[in-house]
Amino acid sequence: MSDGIKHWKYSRISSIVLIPLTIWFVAFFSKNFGMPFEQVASSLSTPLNSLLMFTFITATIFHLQQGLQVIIEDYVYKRLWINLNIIFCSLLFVVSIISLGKLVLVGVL
Amino acid sequence: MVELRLPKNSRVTQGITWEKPSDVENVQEVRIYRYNPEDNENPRLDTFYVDLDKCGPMILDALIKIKNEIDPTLTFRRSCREGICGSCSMNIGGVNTLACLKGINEFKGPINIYPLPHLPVIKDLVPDLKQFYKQHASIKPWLETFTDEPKEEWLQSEADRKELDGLYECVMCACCSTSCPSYWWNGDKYLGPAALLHAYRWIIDSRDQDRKARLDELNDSFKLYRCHTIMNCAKACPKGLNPAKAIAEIKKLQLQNS
Repeated sequence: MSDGIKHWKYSRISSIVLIPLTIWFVAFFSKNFGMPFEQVASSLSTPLNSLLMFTFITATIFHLQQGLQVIIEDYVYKRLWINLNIIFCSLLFVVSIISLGKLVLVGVL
Repeated sequence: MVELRLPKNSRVTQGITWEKPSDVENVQEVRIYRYNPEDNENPRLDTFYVDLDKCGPMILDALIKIKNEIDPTLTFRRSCREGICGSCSMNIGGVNTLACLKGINEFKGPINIYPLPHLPVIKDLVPDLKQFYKQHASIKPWLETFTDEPKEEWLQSEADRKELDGLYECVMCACCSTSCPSYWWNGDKYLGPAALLHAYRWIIDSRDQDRKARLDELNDSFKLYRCHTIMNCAKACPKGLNPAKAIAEIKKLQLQNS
């Protein structure tokens, strides 16, 4: 399999991007911890927070996919598992983004 | 692919215990992995007792003494006895190293000696290094040049020569590659620290003209990128080299190149 450098570069870029995003994520949820659902939802709906949350989800799931692929290649190398990992992470991404989008665009029902 | 246990016919059994000399004070217990492909039996661990007062200081001296005086069938590779040929690499006390550079007095209690891990064993302490040498050959360990100039020697500045320090000293003993878990699981596709250290040695040689092709060849998620900086290679190297650093340098050059 070629293009090892691409994979290596992307996992490093996503991990660097995730450092500030994770700090924001922890700060955001420790501030909102124990608050009523409506309040958490509305503070997540502000343009800045929803954008940060979107980037956080994208970077995390991308990094997850890259990391799991390395583990699969290391221990079980089979194309099937690598593809299943891509499908799993894509589903996770779609579900997360739909949930976030619903929260931001539709609000609490 | 990961393997958690040795195959059934490779599991080590209890072997022979040779008689402990009674009239000597300074005795060292040495347990050695024995395997004979001809007797159709599992490998075993034999126990020997070496009289240290009549033995040289190194593990290799003890092995030679055992072969000379106790069991002449004990089989191991050795040649220069000074860490320059890389023949006597084996797993001593759980660490890959050269028997000729490891002092007996560095150990307390019995010393366990096994062949290099995760390689097919030919006999006793002699592993099959065919794949290891094939991987070394695959990185083209020679100068690739395309121009006719200069006609005579290809000179190098002192600074350019200095780049090769810490790389050219490698004696290909395979201690690093066989200590690497990535090499254990994917040794068929991953080139391993030794071959990659050599690859880097030719990549940064100022006289080599094939750098780009060399880097492209290694841009592969298995050949190079199975290295996860576990650093066992640097820890094992009996010459004190750092293959992990050489691998990281290749990655940096590929990044510049991409």
